[in-house]
Amino acid sequence: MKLAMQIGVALAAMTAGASVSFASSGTALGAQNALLAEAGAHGGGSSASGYLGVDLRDISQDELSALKLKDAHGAEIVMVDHDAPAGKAGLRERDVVLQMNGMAIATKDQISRMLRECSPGRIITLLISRDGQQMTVTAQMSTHEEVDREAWEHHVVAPDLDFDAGAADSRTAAASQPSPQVRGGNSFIGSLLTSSTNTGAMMEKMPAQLAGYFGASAGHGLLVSSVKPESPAALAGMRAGDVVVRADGKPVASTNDWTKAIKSAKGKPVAVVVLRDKKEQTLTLSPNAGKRSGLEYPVLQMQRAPATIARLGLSWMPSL
Amino acid sequence: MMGAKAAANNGVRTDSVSLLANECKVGHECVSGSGSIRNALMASLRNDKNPNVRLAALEGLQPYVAADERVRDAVLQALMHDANANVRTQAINLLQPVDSDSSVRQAMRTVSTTDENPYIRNTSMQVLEGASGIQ
Repeated sequence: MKLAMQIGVALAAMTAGASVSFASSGTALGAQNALLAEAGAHGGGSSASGYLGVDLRDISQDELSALKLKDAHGAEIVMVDHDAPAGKAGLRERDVVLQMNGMAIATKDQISRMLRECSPGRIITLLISRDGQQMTVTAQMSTHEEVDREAWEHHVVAPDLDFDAGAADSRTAAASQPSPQVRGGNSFIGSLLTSSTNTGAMMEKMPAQLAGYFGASAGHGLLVSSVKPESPAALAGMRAGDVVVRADGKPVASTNDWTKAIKSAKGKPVAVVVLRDKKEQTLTLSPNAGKRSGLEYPVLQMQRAPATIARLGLSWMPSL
Repeated sequence: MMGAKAAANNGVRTDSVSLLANECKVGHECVSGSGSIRNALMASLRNDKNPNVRLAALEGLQPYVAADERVRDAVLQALMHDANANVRTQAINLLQPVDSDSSVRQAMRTVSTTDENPYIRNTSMQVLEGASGIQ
C-alpha cells in the first residue's frame, strides 16, 4: 500500500534545519508544501550555493524492482551527510527523490541543478520514495562551512559515557568523550578534549612545520583554530590563526599549560600573548570558569590512577 | 560485562570484550534493550589501556557506525586520539559507511596531514578523494 505523507512540521521551526512527517494523501505536494517552499525561498539571504548533504544518481531500469518504483523517474540518493540538513531530515541512502518543491524530478542532473540554485537558509520540500512508500521531507539548506562548523563543535562537546549509561537515542545523542588513550608523545596530553574552562577558543598543538610558518618556535604555542562569537576569547580580541605563546606570564606549550593558566586565574583577567602575523600582541582575557565550554581544546593529563580505578583496569583518568 | 570493565588481566578483558563484541555482531542486546553492551564497548574503546581490547571493542561496534551517532563519534575519537596505529587504522575502516559525513571528513582531513603513521595519512587521504559529488 502506498503510504502518503503530509508535512506536519511548523514553518516556524525553520531553525531546526529539517524535519520529516507522514501524510494521508499520496498525491503530489499540496499547497502547504508550496507555501513552505516559497517561505523558504526568503529564508536565505546569501547568493552562495546551499548545501543539503546528498549525492545522487539516475535510476536505471535494473533498479526499479529493488527500489519498488514504477518507472525510472527521479534520482536515487547514494550518499548522505548525516551532519548536514539531509541527515537531520532523515534522508537515507536508497531514498529516491521524486519531486523537489513540487516539481517532478526526472534525472539526477535536474535536481543537482535545482540544489545548486538554492541559497542557504531556504527550506526545500522533497517528495521521496522509500521502499515503495512515499513521504515528504523538508530541509533547510545550509552551507558547507556552517555544517562543518556545527559538526566540529558537536564533535568536541562530549558528555561522559560509562559502562552503566543507558542507551541514548540514535543520531541524537552527543558525541562520546575522547579516549584517554591519546597520542601526544611522552607528555600523554591530548589536544582535542573538553575543558572546564570557558574561553570560547578552540586550540591545538602544531606540528613543527606549522609552528615555523606561524613564527613560533617548535614545541611552543597553541594555534587558535576558531573563536566563538561573544565568548571571552572573542571579547579579548583573539582570532583564529593567532598562536597563544604565553598566558599569565608563563609559556604555553600545551593545552595543559593553557588550562592551568586559565584555571589559576579563577575568573580574573589573564594577560595572553599571541603571535599574529609573526608579531607578539598582548590580549587581556577574562575567563569565565563557571561554565563548561564545548569549544575549547582542553587537556587530558596522566595521573596516578586511584586504587578503585586501578582495580577496574582503567589506568587513565582525565584531569580537567 | 564485569570482565570487560573490571578485570585486571589484559587477556580476560580482551576475551570479555570479544564476547560482548560478538553479542553486538549478532545483533542481540545491542539492538534492543538498554544497549548497555554497546555502551560498554564504547567505554572500552575510550578507556581501556590495552590496544587489543580496544580493537575488539571496535569490531563489536562496526555494525552500528552508520546507525548510531554516538558510535560514529566514539570511532572518530579513536581515529584522532588513540595511541595505537592499528586502532586508528581500524577506525578508518569502520568509518567507511559514514565517510560522507562532515565530521568524518574533518577528522580525515586532520589525520591525513598530522598522523605520524604514513599509511594512515595515505588511507585517510584516499577516503577524502571520494564523495566529491555531494551537495
